[in-house]
Amino acid sequence: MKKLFLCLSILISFNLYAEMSILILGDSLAEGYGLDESMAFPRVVEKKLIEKKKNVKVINGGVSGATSASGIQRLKWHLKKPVDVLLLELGANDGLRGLSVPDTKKNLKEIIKFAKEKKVKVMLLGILMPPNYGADYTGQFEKMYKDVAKEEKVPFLPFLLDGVAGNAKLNLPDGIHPNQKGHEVIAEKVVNFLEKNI
Amino acid sequence: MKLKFIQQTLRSSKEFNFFFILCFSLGILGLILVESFKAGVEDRVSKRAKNFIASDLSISSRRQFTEVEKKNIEEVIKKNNLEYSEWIETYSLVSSVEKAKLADLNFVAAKFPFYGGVIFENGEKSNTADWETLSKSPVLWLSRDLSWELKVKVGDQLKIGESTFQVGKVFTEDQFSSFRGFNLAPKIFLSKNYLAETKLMQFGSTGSFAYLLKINDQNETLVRENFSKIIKDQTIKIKGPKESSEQIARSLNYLSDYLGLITLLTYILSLIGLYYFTHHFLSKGLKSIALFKALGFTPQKVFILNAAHLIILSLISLVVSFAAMLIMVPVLESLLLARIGEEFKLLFTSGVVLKVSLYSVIGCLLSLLPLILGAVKIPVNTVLQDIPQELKRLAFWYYLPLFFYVVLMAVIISHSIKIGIVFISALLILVGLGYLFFKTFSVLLEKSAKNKKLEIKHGFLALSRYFHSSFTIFMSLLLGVTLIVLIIQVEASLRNEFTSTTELRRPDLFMFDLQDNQEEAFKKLLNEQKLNVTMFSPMIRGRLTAINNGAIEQKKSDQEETFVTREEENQERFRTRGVNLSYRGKLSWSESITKGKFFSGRCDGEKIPCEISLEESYARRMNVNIGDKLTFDVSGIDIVGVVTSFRKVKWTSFEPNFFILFQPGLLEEAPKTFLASFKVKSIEERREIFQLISNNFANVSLLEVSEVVRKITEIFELMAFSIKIISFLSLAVALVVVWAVSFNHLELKIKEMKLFFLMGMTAEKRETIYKIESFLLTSMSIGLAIFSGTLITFLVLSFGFNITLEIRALYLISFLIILFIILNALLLFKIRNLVKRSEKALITF
Repeated sequence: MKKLFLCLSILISFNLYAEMSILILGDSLAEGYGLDESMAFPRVVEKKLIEKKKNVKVINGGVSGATSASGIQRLKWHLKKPVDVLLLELGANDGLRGLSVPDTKKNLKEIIKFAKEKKVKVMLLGILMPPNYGADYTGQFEKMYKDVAKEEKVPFLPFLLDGVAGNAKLNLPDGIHPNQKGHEVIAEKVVNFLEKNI
Repeated sequence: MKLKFIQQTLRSSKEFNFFFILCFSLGILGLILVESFKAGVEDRVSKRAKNFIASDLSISSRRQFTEVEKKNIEEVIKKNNLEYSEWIETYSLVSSVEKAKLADLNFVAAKFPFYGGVIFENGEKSNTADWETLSKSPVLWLSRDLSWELKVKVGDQLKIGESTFQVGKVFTEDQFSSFRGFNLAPKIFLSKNYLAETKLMQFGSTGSFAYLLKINDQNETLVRENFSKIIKDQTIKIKGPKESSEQIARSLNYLSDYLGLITLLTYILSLIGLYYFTHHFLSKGLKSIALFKALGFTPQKVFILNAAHLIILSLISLVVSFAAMLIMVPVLESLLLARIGEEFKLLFTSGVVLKVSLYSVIGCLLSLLPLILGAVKIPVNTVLQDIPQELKRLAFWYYLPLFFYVVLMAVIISHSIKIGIVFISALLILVGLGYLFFKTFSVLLEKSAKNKKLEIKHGFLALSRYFHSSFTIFMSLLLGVTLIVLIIQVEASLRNEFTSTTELRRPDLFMFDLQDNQEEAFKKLLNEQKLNVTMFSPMIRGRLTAINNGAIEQKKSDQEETFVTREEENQERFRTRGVNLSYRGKLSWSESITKGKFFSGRCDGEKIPCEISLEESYARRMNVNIGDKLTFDVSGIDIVGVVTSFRKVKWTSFEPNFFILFQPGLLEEAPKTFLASFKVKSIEERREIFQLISNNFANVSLLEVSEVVRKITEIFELMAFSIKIISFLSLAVALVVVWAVSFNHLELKIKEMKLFFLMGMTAEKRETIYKIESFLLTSMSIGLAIFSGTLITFLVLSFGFNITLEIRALYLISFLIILFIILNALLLFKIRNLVKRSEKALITF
């Protein structure tokens, strides 16, 4: 009995101190376009969580220009190593390239389903299209994320760039990609979102 | 007093003055021609670049201007009396009855554009009236590709935002697309007056907002300064044509740098000529210098008098060459017009005058002042000696300033320490080899002359008797003819690279972002439709993290960097960006292995690390060698490989290729997309492919690249042509210098000719002596120049342009034979003339 208790204690303590692996599967926002990778929000999130004494490892799965269509293959590649949480940050390039919204929705759902099958906890990071894409398209796009989150029952952050988009001080001169300060703001939001949902 | 002496010196040395001015003027003329041509090329590029921004100056921002900013900008516009227009570019979904597609919307105001335009379907170029109509009505002009994708024609309606527009015209080409040319979506032009109705511009909207300015008589720098004063936000860019055409400028800078080096060679030739004349002149005038000293002139005074004489001659040469240039400009421009079918301005500006004057005078003084220093060292007592005096030769370090000046000029002109030093080293090696060759040959001739007939014997001995001047002629000819060989072969190689073999395979369309799971369907479609795919390749995004386990430090790319040399700029550009990786087991037709061995079959996955093949220039820039271990971060997973080969890629094939290739077997499972390129036969086929891809693979992007390819090819055509023109101009200068030096060399021999005449040698035999000498000098230099020219061409093409050498043996040999005949005919004419003169002038012996 004593031995069993000892084993359980070891197992429990091992689990408590085991490193949590968080994969951020995304695009140029996660990759940290225009900046050193160490300044991109996935790395900042890791830093902030470690500062909060969390034993985590954040994998930056951001690829500039990536669309949701590439998500499933990239996820399969990442899942060669253990992943506990998936933060799905894809779809922005689909929107910026004016791709079909139902296709993007299908791709995102496929990624989420696959991750769930592999026992990975999924969270969705949403994005909004700039108004110049037209009310119809931006409306459809916004609704699509909400629907995916609802249908797949995953925690959802509606707008990753909230407070950053449109603010020249937080973006690179291209007006689209966040600068170092912008990534800090995003990271803070993502950390709060993670803490609330894990 | 001093002036009087200078006047007297000038008057008493008319022949020297003439040859000095002739030789130096020609050398300077070469520099002016090249500088004017360079300025002309830059102006031409700048004019084309004005098309990209449709104006002389644009003030643009990636956000909407605030009301205060607008007010301030418009005030400066008014104050400076400038014409202006506005241009707002944004992306949006555009819907026809059938489909919606992303388009690059360009809302333009009245007066747009100040430069450039579009070409409509019927081949006509847009005019002012067309743009005026557009700016006043709710119509739009759209690109042909978009009309295909949306299945619309002129007169149909398109919905943009909350508004509807009628298709007014369809265009096939727009001159506002830069050299980069790759836009995210096809373009639409429409009136800015209707932008508000679309409701596309709200908080958070993205776009580019620009004021376009036309600068007429105003000073551009001043106008820029006025705007800089009121624009505090650094994200608002004030751009002229130069900034808008950075890529073209970068390519053309290479061209100007190489042209500049060719001219530098001509200039050095003219300095050799000057050195030769001055040496001869001062040697003859040593007695006068000794006399001046005997009369109480200090060596410093004598030095100043002679230096002043040379400076006056240099200034006269400058004036003569500038005057000649003024006469030549219209002639050359009409020749250029006839050759390239377009107006080309040679810009003979004050900047060019100043630059050339500075280059010329400094070079002249540094090469000739040591000679005067040697001359003033003549002892006073030589006045009383009746023996010929020799100019005191100074130690080599007196010429070190000249050497460093030439090295500095080479580095400044080529904008590259490496290229500058390679150029100077090549020149020194050429001179060294030339010296060895000439010395050996003259010694051999001297030895073999013993048992020959009298005239042959003297002909053979002429080279060693007058070694100094013979070697000068030999070297001048060697450099001049090396230039010919260089011109012909560089031009031929460039032409071959861009026109002959690859044209048939050059792609017209690029496709990217095909996903892994779409590969099979795409290949099936290819088979069914029999599409001509010139390349199909996987692409994996990665980041180089370590070389031989040493981490790569990356700089912040948002930092402002200034680069002194091109190498620094390139290295930084290469170091800081992510990399695209690919894998395949076979070499493509447009690449070859230059070092190491290509992949040995498939990597079995267990036997990590697998093999890597690097593009050679990438390897050089990254300072990577065969056997080095590279680590890449591919989507969070470390991939390690060992470099086993370097490849040379023929980038001018325009076939997409990769700097880093992995052996098959490792990256197949990595997340990837596919790239493909298509060759199409007709517009109909292009349209068919656009529709097939758009219907079957909605996420895939297809780009028309034939226009971009055409623009790049045009740049290289200009490059090849410019090299030809400039080099021939430089060559002409070099040949005249050689001709002048040779004649002076023959003049030196008039005493010898008189002696032979007195000895009873017939005129025919005397002629033979100098004919043999001329034949030996010209044939030796031309022969060696074929070898050296080919070697330099190979080096320039391999390291400068990364292009394979194309030898045009038949053309080259015919050209050189003609040159040889012309040179010998001219020399023969001079020899006959001198032989006759020597008989008549016997009395003056």
